[in-house]
Amino acid sequence: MIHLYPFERSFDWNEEIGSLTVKRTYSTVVNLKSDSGRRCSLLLKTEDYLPRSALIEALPALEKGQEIVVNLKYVAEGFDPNCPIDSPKVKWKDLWLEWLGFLEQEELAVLLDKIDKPEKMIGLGPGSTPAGDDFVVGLIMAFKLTGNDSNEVEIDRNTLVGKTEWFSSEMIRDALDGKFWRRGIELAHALAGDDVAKILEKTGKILEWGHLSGKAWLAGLAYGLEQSGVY
Amino acid sequence: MKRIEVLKGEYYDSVTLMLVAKELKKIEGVGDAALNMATEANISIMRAAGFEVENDFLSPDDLLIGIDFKGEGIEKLFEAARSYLARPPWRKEERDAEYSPVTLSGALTVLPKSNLALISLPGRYAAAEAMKALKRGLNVMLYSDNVSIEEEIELKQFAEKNDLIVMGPDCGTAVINGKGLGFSNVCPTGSIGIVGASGTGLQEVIVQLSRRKLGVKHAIGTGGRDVRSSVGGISFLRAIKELSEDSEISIIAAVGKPPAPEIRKKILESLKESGKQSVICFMGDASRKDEESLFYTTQLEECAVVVAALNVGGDATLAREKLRAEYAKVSGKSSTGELSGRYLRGLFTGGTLCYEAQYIAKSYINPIYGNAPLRKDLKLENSLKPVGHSFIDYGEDEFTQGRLHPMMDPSFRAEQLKKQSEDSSVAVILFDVVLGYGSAENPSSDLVEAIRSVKREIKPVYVAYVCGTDRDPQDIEKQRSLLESVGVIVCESNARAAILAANILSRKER
Repeated sequence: MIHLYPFERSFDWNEEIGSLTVKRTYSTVVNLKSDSGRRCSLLLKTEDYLPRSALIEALPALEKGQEIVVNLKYVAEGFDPNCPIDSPKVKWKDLWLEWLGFLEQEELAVLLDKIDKPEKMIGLGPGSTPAGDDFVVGLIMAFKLTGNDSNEVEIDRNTLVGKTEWFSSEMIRDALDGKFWRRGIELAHALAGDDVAKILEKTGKILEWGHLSGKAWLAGLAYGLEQSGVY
Repeated sequence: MKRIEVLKGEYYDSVTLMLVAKELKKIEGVGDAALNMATEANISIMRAAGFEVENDFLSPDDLLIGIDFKGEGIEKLFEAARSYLARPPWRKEERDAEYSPVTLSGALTVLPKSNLALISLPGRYAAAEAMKALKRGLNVMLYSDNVSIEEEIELKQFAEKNDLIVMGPDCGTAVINGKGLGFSNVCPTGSIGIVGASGTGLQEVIVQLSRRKLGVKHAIGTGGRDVRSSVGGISFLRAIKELSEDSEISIIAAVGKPPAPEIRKKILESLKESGKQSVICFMGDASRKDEESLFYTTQLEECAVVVAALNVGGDATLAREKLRAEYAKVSGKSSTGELSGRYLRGLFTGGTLCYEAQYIAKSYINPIYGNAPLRKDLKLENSLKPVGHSFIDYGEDEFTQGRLHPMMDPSFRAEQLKKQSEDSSVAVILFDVVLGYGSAENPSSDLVEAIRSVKREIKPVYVAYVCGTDRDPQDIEKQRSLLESVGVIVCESNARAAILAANILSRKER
């Protein structure tokens, strides 16, 4: 059994999980699955922080299905995945309205047909995490940021598995619990502030997510803000 | 084998089309590759290059891909072209980049204090976007051409009513608070204000001022049609007003082709009222005597020379006389080696430079034909087939619909340079090379290659002017040296180049 020792962790990963199985490995990220089916991740880069994740100096060669132990004793907290409380400022409205334009791209147009039925978006569209899932996560964040009840999106967390792939379903479950990726949280903080340079920088970071994921996420956020009735 | 493929209803920007063509030309066996929107002018150009284009079902929204390939498997090249268009190989995946707004509203959210929008779109979309900008309280630099005169009038009248200005359409150059916009040279900022109904005319005056250590604060372009009766000089007069009210501006220069008489009158009155010394350069205008605060010139370098003299409290007449003496020396250098052929061909990228050169050359040789001639009856029937003494402006609309301006993509003019060089009736070729932001990275390179490849026993004499400063990104010394390495005579101004080229021929005729 391999034991790994991260040096920093997200606030919400504070327990020793007995058995973790390697689900997927990338050059800077390893996704792990717990006995209960939840995702945990080991990361090399701070900007990739997400719920239940920890930073590590280096990743050993791991194989899919391999069992490992992650030792979190005395590991400092570095990232709070909980959604911020402050709402975006209305003065940025014209900027987020632009993000709805991403749905006019041919590859994302499929989402437009289902835009008012978020539950139908689960698993829909292109991408390793289907673009519909990214849209839904952005939408849920908008609801959280504006104090709306995310139950309104009518997504049943218990039936997620089967409707979409595992990583995506975990991402949506976390969102329903009010937990998000670092990049999304940083953008939310920026939109609640007055520093335009920060907004452009953080939006750029979101757009780095995959080929379409970032665009779909931003479109979902924008749509959710518009639907919130706050602006 | 030369073959054409049509992609119906597919629009790509000119830069993409140029880069895809360049990429295809790198493939072994490809003799020629051209990607153009199917405008009438582009169809003629492709036909002249030997491609069979049926235009019965074509519209300017269709893309033409023409490939000349020696060998089997030309279909694979068309596949490659389509693939390059879909996923340009030169486009690096931008990572860690800031988000840039993609709408006017988004941009104004980011920069709420902005007061100028630069609009560069295909002409048929440009006017509507310009109006949106004006309605948001923004001044407009309308870089696009192919905007109708009716739209131009509507935009300018709306702007005027709202204390705004529309620079353009077809405004390629401006300097605002010392910052160049569009095609612009790297020059010092100073106390000179210029208003110009021309692009390269502005550039030439700015460059010549810079060579005399003088800087420009604002250079406001108006677009060439502004000084016509129908438009009424709305932007020209507005620009004079703005420059007059700017306490940091010491001298105003007004540059362009001659305005309609009633507009000229208004411009002169407005300059007089400005209370500032003003130098007027309406090329081709009849010579006039200087008045108290108005100084008249007829050439771009002369305009800069007079401004420079006035700036140090000098005498405009003396400055002009000194310049004329220098021009006489240029004429004296016209004895070159053996000349073959009879005609002068001017191949220009700058419209105003082309106009000025014709205006100067007509004192020595006549008639001069062209696609933008001084007299309507001298217009060439086919700009791709010049006759006699001819001057061609490759920046005219006929060459820029659905393709890049020749200042950005020198390849088309280079092909024409080669073609003209191989015409046994041509004795002298005069051309411009315009440097600065917006222009090609190495504009002389294609021209030099073209000259090198000419197969003619006695090549024409080449005379050129490099419009640029020693701070421009293309390295002016490198550009001059490149041209000189193939025997081109490089002059210090557009006027000097025209004088020399015309003199070489007129000496031969004597």
